[in-house]
Amino acid sequence: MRLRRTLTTRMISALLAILAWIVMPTGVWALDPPASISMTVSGTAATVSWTSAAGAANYAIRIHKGGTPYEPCESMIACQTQAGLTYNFTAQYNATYDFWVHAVDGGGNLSATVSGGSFTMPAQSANVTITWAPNTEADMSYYSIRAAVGPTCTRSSPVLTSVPHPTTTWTGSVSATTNALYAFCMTAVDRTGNESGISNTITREIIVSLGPVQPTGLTVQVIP
Amino acid sequence: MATKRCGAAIVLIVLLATAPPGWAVTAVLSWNPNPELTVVSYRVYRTATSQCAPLPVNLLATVQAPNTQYVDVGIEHTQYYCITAVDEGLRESTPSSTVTAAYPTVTPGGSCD
Repeated sequence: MRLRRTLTTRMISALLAILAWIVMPTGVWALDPPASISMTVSGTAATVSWTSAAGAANYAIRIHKGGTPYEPCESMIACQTQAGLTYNFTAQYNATYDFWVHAVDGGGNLSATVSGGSFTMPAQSANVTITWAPNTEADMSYYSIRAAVGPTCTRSSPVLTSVPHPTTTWTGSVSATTNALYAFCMTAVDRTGNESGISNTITREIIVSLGPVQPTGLTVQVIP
Repeated sequence: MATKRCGAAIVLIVLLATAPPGWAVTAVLSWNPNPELTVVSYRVYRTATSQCAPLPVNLLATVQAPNTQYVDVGIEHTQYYCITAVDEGLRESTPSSTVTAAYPTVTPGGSCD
């Protein structure tokens, strides 16, 4: 009787062990992921940081630029394992970065993936000042300033802003993603909504603060 | 006995297969000049792992433009390099592709027949 009970107990223990092995074949689920993943930027100096996870020996950081899929590693800005809780890189304007961090234990097992979300670097802008002579109509209402990339500005160009009459100057920022020639023109609008013909066009080269492009053609030769 | 001698020879060759300490090699890096006239320098980064991150801790040297070559003398392990371009506003580009300077190893030769 005692032998049978012992065998039964051992069988149950073995069964439970097998079940545990099936449910948790690796240590993946035992490791907590890192938390509070965020990306901060000062100029173009970007830092992805996170808080430590219990049991983690290292952290695997993945950063993608431009909304590309999670894999492959070669297309990532960062795809590496490290001990530290921050990762620094140089970000580019007018680009979106997606980032993830895993915790990694001493056996190389990964925690669940934790996405830090996306961070979009803004396009750079340049300040522009436009002045004009006031219209003389008694029922003048406002001026409509239009802007376009290139040398030509027309009535169909996008409206940059509206300025109430009798103001005759406007200073504002023009968003740009790359160095380009911008054209500006304007119309006058009266209180009943009648719009004048288009003014003369002025142009200005907008220089944005983009950094250099990525160097190319790097090779190495090893000399014994 | 002949087998023992051959075994000893293999051990000796394996010991020599990785270069002995002090056997340093030189890595010559070169790259294309950046197209921007505002680029003033290039930063050369070196890491011992294949992910060459442009971090301050990995900064090996700054090369003034228009030079596009850097010679790393005395490396004793496989190293990985990448570079960035820096303009006059100290804006730094994203890193180039990573290249590998493989530390040479001696391949055992001969046979023990």
